[in-house]
Amino acid sequence: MRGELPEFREWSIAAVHLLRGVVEAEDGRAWNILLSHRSSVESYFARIGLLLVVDESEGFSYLRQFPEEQLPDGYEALPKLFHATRLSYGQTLLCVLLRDALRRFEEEEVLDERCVVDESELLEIWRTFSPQQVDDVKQIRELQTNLRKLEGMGFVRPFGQEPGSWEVRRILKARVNADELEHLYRQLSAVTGASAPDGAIAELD
Amino acid sequence: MRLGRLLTYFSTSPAIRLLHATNAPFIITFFEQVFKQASRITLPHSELFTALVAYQEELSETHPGVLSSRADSYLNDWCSAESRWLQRLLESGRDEPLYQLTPHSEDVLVFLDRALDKDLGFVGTESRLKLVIDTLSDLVIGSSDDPEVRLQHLRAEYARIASEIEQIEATGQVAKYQPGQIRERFATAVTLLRQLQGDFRAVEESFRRITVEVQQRQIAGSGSRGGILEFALDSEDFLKREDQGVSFYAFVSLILSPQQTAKLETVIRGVRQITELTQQHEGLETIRSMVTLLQREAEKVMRTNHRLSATLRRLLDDRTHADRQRIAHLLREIQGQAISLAGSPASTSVGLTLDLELTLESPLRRAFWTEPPKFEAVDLTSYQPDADARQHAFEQLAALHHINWRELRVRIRQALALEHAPTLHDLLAIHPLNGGVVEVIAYLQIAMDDGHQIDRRASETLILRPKTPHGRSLLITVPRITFLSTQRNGHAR
Repeated sequence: MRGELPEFREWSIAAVHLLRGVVEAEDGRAWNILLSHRSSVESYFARIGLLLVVDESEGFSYLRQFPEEQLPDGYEALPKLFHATRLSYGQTLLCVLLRDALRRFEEEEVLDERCVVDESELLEIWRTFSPQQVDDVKQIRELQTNLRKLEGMGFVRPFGQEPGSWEVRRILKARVNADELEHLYRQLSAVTGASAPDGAIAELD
Repeated sequence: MRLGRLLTYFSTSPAIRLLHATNAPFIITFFEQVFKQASRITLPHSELFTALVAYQEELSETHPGVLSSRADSYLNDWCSAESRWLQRLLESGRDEPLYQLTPHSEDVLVFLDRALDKDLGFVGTESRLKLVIDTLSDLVIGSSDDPEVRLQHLRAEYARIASEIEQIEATGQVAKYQPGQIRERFATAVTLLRQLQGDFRAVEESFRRITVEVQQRQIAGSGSRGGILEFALDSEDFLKREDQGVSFYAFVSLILSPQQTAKLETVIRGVRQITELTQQHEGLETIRSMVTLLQREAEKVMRTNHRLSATLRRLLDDRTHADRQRIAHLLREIQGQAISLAGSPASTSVGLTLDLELTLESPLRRAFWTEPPKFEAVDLTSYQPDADARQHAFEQLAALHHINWRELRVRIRQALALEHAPTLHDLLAIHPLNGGVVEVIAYLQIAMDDGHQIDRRASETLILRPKTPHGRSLLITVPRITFLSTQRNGHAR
């Protein structure tokens, strides 16, 4: 190695955690360091075209690519560091259902601090989005596979020791935001609108 | 008026329902044991469950047939919307639900305390009257801003103190409380303290009610937003400004102030040295831990409060409000569209695209090229069996212990017929192991598969006797496994 390492800065801890994923208020140390050195971390990542998003009231923080229209001159030359993951239709639909569960939780729940959903309740809703002739076992398997996929993306995690309970993590709000939903809605309209005029589809089936 | 309220209360109150419940004395005793006597505000599911199983076991000897169903169905019932004797809540940073008493069950405990009067033996009328008079006089002085009133009071106090000093100096005698008076005052203090402890759930509940009210107004319509803002200008302030909030925050600053607690601790030490009170074990125990307990209660209520006011603040934020409405609308529309798409092949072209993964490529992440494995073809046509080697292989196979799953499950059922909720240790006392460590692992697997209770926080040590005279005993530590009579279905809650 050439020369010595630069002097250690505490905020590097938060930076490394951010590179590995979402930093939540629950993480304690990394979160506190991040809040007290926010501007240093921000400018550190801005150099490589990454935007630091900190939502204090929700208690999470993550990195994302700078939106192109916000990039100052020269920065457009930087290659992208995040690559887009495309979700399957099933995963997308599950995201929508979970996002809705989170919305209801926020509007109605004052007792609990975590939004936890039951796999069996989720299955009930899931059924209404599947064709009639599909059997139960297949639907359960489908739902569980999708849940596990979303777990890998950090949107849900198993709650407690008994299987069948999932915690919906708040980061889902940031990832599946109004703009993403808008975009999804337009995609859906294009598909359903192409096959039949509004409202007539249910009758055709 | 009063009759109407009573009728409603008797027909709807969870407290009355608890008093009416068939097993009321047993349920109430359980609540008292795990929450009050253990000085606990909340209990995690696993602990409460284990405590209930132990309690049921105890009851099966003293009162057979009482509370004999499954422990988790009781817990569910006690939390249900009809019962509301326990409250189940999910806290961040904890992977299982917590339970706490509701204001209703607190009411029942306070009521019974009063009705039965505990070990304190009597209701102190004199000390209560004195308390009333002192409070009223204090009220008259404290609510007046007339300097003359205050001065008059101070002078009277001054004269009283001076005359008492004079008397003691002259006679050398102190007028001490009679033993009966001492016990009476003590009883009054302990009763007040117990009632105070029961009040916290009610305070929390009333803060929650305010939050729900704001939530409902907020969701009801955006037209009245001005009204809501007026209703809750600054949410935190609002919770604090309410009468109950004012009193609670004054209480908090009192119990958390170091001078006040130090003073209180000194007083408590003094009380514990009064010889007339040495028989009052339970009362003294209540007093002994009061400072810590009250501080813990205060912190618990404050935590709830901070969370509620954060919820309110989010709700009342203009920006997020518009965003929330837009999101709610979109979610509804998307789900509507998705239902009509059910199973349609067109759906495959629809999906979210999210920037989730950071793609860091490192040359070291890739392994070096290695030669693909080659398989050697063995020609068995001219194979000459070696009788000794074959015999050896068969012996090894025969020596492997066969796990008879059915047999093990039969043993569990037999143990359950003998005991209410046996642990693995209890079971092995009835059916000793004969297959060694493998059998313990088999039991673990069965416990997992059949939904018995596995408590990873508690452990049990099993002793495995040697099978041969020269072998060594083994000590095995496993998570505590409690076998339950009915197999639990994975979806039941």
